[in-house]
Amino acid sequence: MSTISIYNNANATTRTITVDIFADLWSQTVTNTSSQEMVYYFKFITSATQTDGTKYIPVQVTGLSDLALNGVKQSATNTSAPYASIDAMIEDYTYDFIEGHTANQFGSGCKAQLPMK
Amino acid sequence: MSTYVQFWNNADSTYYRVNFTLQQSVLSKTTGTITGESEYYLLINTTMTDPYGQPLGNWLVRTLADVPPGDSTATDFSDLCRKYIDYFIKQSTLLETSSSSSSSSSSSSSGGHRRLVAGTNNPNVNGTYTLTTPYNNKNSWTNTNGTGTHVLWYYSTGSEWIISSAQNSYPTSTDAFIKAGAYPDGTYSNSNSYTGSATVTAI
Repeated sequence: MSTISIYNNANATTRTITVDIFADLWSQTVTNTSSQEMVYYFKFITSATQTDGTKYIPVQVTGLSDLALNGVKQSATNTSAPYASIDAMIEDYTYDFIEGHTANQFGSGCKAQLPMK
Repeated sequence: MSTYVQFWNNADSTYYRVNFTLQQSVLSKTTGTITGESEYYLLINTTMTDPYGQPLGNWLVRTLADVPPGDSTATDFSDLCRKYIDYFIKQSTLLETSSSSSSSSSSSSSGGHRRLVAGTNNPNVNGTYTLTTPYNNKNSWTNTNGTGTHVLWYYSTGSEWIISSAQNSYPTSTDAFIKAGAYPDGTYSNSNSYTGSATVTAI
């Protein structure tokens, strides 16, 4: 598990994002029938809120092609290329938490998310 | 540790683990230069050991291309983790068993044998084992006859290798078995009912 600390200079506050790898049995079908196959993924959790006070939904990332904006675009740049590394993936998802994004950012079809409070 | 998968090995009544840990360090992102930035990576290791009792090492994984030796780039994190689990099991002693052999060429075996499986399924249960990727490391063999189901048996009481000719099924008492040569690292090329060839590497 890693904890990423984010210092907000304007408000003199520190927020944290926790990221870790998990293994779970996931349903592989819409009928919620478990395939009994382990799924490994990264999960991002934060107690921080968006600027309007809305909480963040925990984010699960299944692979380096699972991009931050609706799974199809990276958040920091207008690119649909897979992340080059685990490190790059964590950086981009962290950027997305901090900076937020507009609805359909980069034509990704994503919903809007405000910056971190 | 971040998460782990635990296996029960009936042969020695022991649980073994494969650990997946997300780590963060200040590492050089460019050759020879410490940038001072944090880098995140996975540390993968296991409590399994090789047949000589040596640890199977710590594996640092930064990308989906950081897979076990001889393996192809993973498609996602699940695929990546399964590749390491498969690799550790193949390299470890978990495949050792004292169960009775179903081989029809059992004359060379007076005791337990080691079952070596090149495949993707659980090697500790009966079933169908499919060879999907050529393996060149120890405890495995290279299929030169396309994909199919093959099970490699090594008799621990001798130096004889026996390869099942069965395809797409677990070997039964009626399967034809072909001796792969007198030496564990011998190359097998003769043919009886088996039409392919296989190169066997020593354990």
